[in-house]
Amino acid sequence: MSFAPNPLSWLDHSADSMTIPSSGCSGDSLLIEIAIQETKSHINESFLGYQNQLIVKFNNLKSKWISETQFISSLTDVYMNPSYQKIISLGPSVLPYILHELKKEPNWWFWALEVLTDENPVNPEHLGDIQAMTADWLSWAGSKHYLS
Amino acid sequence: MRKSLIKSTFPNLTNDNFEIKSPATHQYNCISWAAGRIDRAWWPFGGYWPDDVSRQVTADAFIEAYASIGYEVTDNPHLESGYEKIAIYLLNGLPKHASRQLLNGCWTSKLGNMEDVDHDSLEAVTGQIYGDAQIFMRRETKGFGVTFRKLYNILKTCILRIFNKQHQSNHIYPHIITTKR
Repeated sequence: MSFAPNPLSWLDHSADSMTIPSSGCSGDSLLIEIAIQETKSHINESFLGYQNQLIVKFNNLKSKWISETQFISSLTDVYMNPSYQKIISLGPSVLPYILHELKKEPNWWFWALEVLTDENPVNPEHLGDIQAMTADWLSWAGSKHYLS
Repeated sequence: MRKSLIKSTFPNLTNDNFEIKSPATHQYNCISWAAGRIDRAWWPFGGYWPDDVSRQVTADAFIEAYASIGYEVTDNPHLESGYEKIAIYLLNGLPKHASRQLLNGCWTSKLGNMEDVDHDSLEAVTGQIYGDAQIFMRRETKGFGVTFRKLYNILKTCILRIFNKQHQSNHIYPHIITTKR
């Protein structure tokens, strides 16, 4: 599974390219280096913590949605299920997880994808054909580099 | 285990009144299954929907959708020779499910994203999820039933024509005779 690039990756470059003043105070430059490393580590930890929380939240909501809608025939009710709506409310950061789920096992993720991306790559002739709709979305995700 | 889960979801189902007939699949839903299609899910919003039928989740739109493949509204769900029937379930006036009648008078339903089941009555899957079967539609059966019915209709028409000619003759001759006088 390939995720969107780490939004904090700029820190790596900024730290590498940062010029430490060569005033002869090697102690100061060392302190600055340590401070940068600590900040990076702290931010990375927070980001990973947030990502982990998001994965747990997404998985819980997904399981609840699948369980609550397994016998429901109405696609309207499947899409309007509170857990499904909560997944949408998590925002575009859940997009990689939804696409991963779709790749793993086709399900009615299409409305969430449409809302989160503001796009609809489904060929109108494929409406209702879950395999074809999945293929349309995965092809779109590939073209946008959401999937490796 | 699957049967237990289904029974716990639909309280009217018992061990004796239904049978699982297929594996679970997302490929089609109850609306398409009732229409005899298994290639895609039918739904006005986000699914396949027949051309020129309004994409609204209303009883009228569902009647129109089934009418587009030859069904007409009928007043009962009873087994009728030469016809296949479907029932549309409504909950609070909104379509939620559809079942198709089998040749033996039982019904078949696709349960959401799960399996197809045969059930002995329409009431077997009524409840909080699908509501009640409220709209019944029928169309002439295909195959031998239709052929037999058409032959019967042709034969009936022929007999009626012969009978009418005979009947007219009996009336015309006295008239002609009267006129000649």
